[in-house]
Amino acid sequence: MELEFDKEIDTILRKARHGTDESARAGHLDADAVAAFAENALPEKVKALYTAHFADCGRCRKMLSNAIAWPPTEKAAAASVAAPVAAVSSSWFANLFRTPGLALGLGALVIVFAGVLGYIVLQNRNRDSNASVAKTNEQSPQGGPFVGDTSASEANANASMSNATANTARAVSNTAAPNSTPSGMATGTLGRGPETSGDTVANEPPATATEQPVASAPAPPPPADKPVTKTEDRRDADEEKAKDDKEAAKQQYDGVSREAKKVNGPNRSVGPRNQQNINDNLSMNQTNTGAIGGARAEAVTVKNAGGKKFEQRNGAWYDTAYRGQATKNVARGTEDYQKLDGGLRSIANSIGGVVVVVWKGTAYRIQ
Amino acid sequence: MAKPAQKHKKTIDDAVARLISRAENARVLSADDIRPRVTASLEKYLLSTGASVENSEISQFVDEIRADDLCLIIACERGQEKAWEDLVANFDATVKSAARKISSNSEDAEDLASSIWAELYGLRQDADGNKKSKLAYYSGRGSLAGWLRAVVSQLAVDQFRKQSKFVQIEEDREFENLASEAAESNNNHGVVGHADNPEEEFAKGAAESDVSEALATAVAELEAEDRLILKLYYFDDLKLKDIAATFGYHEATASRKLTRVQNEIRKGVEKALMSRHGWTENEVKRHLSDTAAGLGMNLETMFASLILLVLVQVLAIKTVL
Repeated sequence: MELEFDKEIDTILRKARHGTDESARAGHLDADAVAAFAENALPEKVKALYTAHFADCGRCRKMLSNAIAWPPTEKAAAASVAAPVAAVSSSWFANLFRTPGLALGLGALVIVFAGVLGYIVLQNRNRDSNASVAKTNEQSPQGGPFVGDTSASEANANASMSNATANTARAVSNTAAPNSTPSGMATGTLGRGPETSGDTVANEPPATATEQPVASAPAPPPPADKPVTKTEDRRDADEEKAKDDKEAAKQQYDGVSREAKKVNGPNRSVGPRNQQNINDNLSMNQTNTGAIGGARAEAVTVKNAGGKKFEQRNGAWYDTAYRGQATKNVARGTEDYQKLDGGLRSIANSIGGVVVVVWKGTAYRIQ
Repeated sequence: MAKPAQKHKKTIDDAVARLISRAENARVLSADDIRPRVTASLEKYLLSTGASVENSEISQFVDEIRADDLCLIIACERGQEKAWEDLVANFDATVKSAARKISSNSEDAEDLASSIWAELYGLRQDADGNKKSKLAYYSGRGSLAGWLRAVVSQLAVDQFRKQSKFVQIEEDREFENLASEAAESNNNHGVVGHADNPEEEFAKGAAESDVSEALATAVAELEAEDRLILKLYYFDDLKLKDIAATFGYHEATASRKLTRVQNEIRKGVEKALMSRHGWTENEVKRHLSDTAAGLGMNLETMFASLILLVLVQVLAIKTVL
């Protein structure tokens, strides 16, 4: 309870309390009267008389203060049985902190100190977390499939191109040998498309329709590029390669067209079966070209963001820490997305697309 | 003590009958066994003032007596073994706990508790060979546990008085400490007299004496209840909550009373210093302020030092982090 004490008089009276001697008065009260007074169990008339006596008799007042201050039996018995020495220590302790407000002040100091420490620690943690996310964002620009390429993806691209040229060669042979089984060949050639995910192929823009299988010997596959450490350089190299491939394919198509025309002789129209083969091969080539582009995209199957590594599978980016546990689906732009941690949202924004992230022990699927 | 009038006899008999019926365990006591104790209690607490007492007051007084505790004590006095067993079993912890409060170690506390029980049992005998037991003094108005604590406290206080060499008037000794504390805080320069300005030290000591006397006078002029509250709070370090419970009112009421007492003391001290000792108003205010500041300076300095230390630690940790 907050008291508006006269500080000066209060201090003077507190210092004056250290007198411990008792008065030598006669007619002291007995234990029964003291106990009854302490418990407010006396009639008002006699209580007033005893009050005057207690006010002037140190001995009786000391008995009264003991009767008031000593704890009730049950608590005292338990405390005394458990720790008899503690009773002596607590009185020494009580004397030490008897000054009013001191205990509260020290307690407040402890709380303030703990609060300041906790605030400083939190600030440092947030700072470190933001620095980590910012660093990741610098290394991993948003969007684009040409990020985080590896040599494995390059090998896949090369394999796709090899298959494409092989298919082109077969298509030319099909055109030259109309008696062959077009469906089988078509199936065979079609079946020998590169192993790419349908999503990847679907996401990639189709190749131009004018491309045709070549009759001439297949051009040797372009040499495998060395892995580029910087993602932007790698992207430029890939784009140039794609352009070269298209040029080469176009030239091959032109050659095939000329050959096809020569083979067919005066009949300028190509037989339906042959036309079907050509069309199948064309679509196959489109698929292959798309696959090449897809392989370009597939070439970039690993990304880094927020100190985490992500691998692309089935069109989604999976945290390498993900072990197949149940995911919590969150859509971008929703309230649930806004409630996510800032670091998590930064990662999702930097990766783009469908992202499966393991964040603080929980797997999130952000799309 | 005045004895109850004849007109109160029936009221007392009815009240005693109700007391026995109230008790959960009357211990096979009859109204004749209990009536003398009740009558003594009435004489001691209700009839001692000499004023006329109504029957209703007598009924209320007896109805407020703790029936079970009184029956237990009377049964012990009459030698019922079962009652003694119950008394020791239920209240031995109370006696030992109170004994530990005034003993320096557990062994002394055990010895003290044993002597208390011997005193209660009545091992001592008077000149006529009758057993002297403190049980006869229990009236039943307060709780038996509280009475036992008061018995132990009485023994402790009497022992301390016997051991003490100097027995002075209480008020004089306590207010004299004002000057002695001031002298101690100055590293006893005032006593030894090796200060740079002895006249100043002498004047300071004289001023302290005047303040001490004025303070004693102001306290003596207070009402008895105010004086008792002040002494229980400042001299015995009791909490306002406990003091309020003793007087039967709320803690907030005790707080207001204490604040009023402080104001009265200030007025009394200022009046005494100006009227009896010729101080001016400015001298009074300055000296009271200086006295309180001097007495409290050490603590405030310690507290400020502690705060400064904490701040330094915070800055150090922040730098490290």
